[in-house]
Amino acid sequence: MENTKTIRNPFPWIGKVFKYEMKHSVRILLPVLVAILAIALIAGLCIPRTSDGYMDMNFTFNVNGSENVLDGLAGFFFMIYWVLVVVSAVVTISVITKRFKNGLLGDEAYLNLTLPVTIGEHLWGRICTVIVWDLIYTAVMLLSFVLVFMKNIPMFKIEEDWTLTFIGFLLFDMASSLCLILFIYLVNAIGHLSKKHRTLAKLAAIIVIISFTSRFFGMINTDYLNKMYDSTMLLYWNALFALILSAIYGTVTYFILKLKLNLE
Amino acid sequence: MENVLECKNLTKRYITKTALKGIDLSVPKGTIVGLLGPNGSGKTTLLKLAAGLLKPSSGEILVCGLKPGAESKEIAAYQPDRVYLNDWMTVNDLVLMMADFYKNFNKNKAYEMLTSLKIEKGEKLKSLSKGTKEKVQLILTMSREAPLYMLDEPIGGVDPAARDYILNTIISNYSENATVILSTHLISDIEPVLNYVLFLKEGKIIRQGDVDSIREEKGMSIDQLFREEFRC
Repeated sequence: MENTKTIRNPFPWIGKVFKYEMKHSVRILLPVLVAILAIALIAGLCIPRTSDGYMDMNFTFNVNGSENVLDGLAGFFFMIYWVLVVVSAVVTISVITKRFKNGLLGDEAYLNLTLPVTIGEHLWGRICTVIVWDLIYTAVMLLSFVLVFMKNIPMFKIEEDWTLTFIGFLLFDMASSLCLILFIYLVNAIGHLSKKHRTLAKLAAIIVIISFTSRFFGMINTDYLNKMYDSTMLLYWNALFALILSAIYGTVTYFILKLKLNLE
Repeated sequence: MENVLECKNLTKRYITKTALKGIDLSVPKGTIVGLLGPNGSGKTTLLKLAAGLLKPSSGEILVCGLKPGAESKEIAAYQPDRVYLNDWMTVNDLVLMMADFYKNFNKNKAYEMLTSLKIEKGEKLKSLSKGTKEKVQLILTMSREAPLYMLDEPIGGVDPAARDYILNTIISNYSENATVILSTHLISDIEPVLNYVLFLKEGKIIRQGDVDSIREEKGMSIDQLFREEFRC
């Protein structure tokens, strides 16, 4: 019985990988995102309504009087909100990339890589997870922004051509997140090729990939950036470049895992 | 007789050493095979190649007639020599995950074995002892209705009392036509259940055959023969 040449439908397997990746990450990321929304709501309730159309971000807390307590709380929660925003971004990236490292290159790979799933399906399942988390994260950020400024929303004026800019922003956001995660996947995959000096191999990989990328795209960037005046178009071009880089990083990672992976 | 595992001139080289040196091998269907050899003889490497966790340097390996890949993994069951369980799932989560991925996974069989070994379904994997984790892994492997089970040191980390249960589990949970390949150092424990052995030494097969024939030919048990062949 030789390997059958029937075409395998990868989607159910990608779906299963995606399902378990989401199950893993949701435990950690959901509470963080809920915390951001909660803090944004509290900050939003504390931040005073502006009367002259300009927001005064200079919140102070006067311990001797009670008239500025709300201002003080607003400042405190506003600061916590931004700390959480930064922490959540770091946690999201860390959870997703650590899961790749442990799941496909560490001891857990003995479970994951003996599942009837191809390397491509493993990677696509994870890519879908990155995209979904990026969309969730972006939605939560927008919602939290609305909550923080809920009393002052009318002062934000929405331009007429916001749709195009918004779509450009979303595309750039997704493509750049994917690019960053696949870059980290690639660095880990290269590091795993070395048996003894993994950290050194990873550092070397980071330097080589960044210098190659910046040289390659530097030539294009200088040309197009000099001529680009439309910031919306710039978002689309950057999204395209991030997608090209993602495809390169993803493909190299795929071939390293497929051809060179040796779990020892 | 149909073979469930075939190797043709199979070689696996690592950077510093050659683990398997052009081995030719055919494991027949419906047998319990002991893959025996001292440390570093290539037993784990052979099973990892069959499980698709390593790539051969040269030669060919076929598992149930298939090159190691997603299709062969769907059919054959493999248990590594180490604990692979994550720390965020419960035992039941893992059973459900296996049932989700493997068509030949029998959930009820897994639950029965868990009950027999007094392992709680709802227990977090991270709270289990190493020995219990190994038992869970064996249950997950033996709950599959597979034509080939490849078990790398399945009784190495468990107490002697549990060994008998595990060996009984292995014997009673595989169908007549299935093959079990057991890699272990604990030969005296598994000898009663073996009917075929493979002796590996420094990456080469130095002996293979039917247990009864070897015992008759050599006039000694497999355990005694192993000690003689691999005397330091």
